[in-house]
Amino acid sequence: MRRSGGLYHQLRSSGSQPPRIYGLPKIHKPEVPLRPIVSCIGAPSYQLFKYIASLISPLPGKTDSHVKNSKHFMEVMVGLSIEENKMLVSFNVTYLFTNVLIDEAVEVIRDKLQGDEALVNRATVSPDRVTELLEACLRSTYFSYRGDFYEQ
Amino acid sequence: MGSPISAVVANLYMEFLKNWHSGLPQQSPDYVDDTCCIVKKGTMEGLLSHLNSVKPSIKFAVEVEKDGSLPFLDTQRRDDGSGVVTVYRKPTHTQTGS
Repeated sequence: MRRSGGLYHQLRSSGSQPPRIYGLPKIHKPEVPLRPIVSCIGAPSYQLFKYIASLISPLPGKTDSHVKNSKHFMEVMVGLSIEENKMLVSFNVTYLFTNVLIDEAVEVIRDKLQGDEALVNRATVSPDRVTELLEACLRSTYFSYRGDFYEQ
Repeated sequence: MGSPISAVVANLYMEFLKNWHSGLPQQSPDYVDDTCCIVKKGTMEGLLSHLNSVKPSIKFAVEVEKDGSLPFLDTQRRDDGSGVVTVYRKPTHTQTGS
């Protein structure tokens, strides 16, 4: 990456702390399991995470089936009649975040970035460079818990 | 993964799986890891086992309507056949606050 003033200073880390794991109880489920969360706020690469996120966040949501929020979903569903021989079901991926295949996801995003003509307005770096940084971020999976370090 | 990247990556990865591999009916509304669809009775089991065979690490849980009513994205269709969709609250919701 070119050491061009603003961005360099923005991404350079100082006074950081490691990502930390904690749990939030799922009170609506039997036995009240914990939802594990790794917080990266203040981590050495936190500014890089935010920068990469700002480059790739315009990419999703362009499919026909994507719904923006509950209101949008209601608009799609209201008045929809379900024929006698059909039924309504929902499919939910269990623990999607930790099960995304990084190799595949990185290639999917590389393709999307290469096809995104508006990327030059957001980034001074090439799609390949962005993808390289993204992969480094996704492969960084360490966190601390009560003073010890772990890797996912 | 509590980094700001995780949600975007998960979102894009699911879009990829749905577009290329899923066999889900076209136009099934989806929100990241949730997809709502209308399927022919008797075909759900086959679709679920197909979805679970696409990627070994990606496992789907299915929820089936009860008398025409199914919670999805904090909404729920009324079960009276009117097609009206209302707000869904989990049974543990305390109805306090706004």
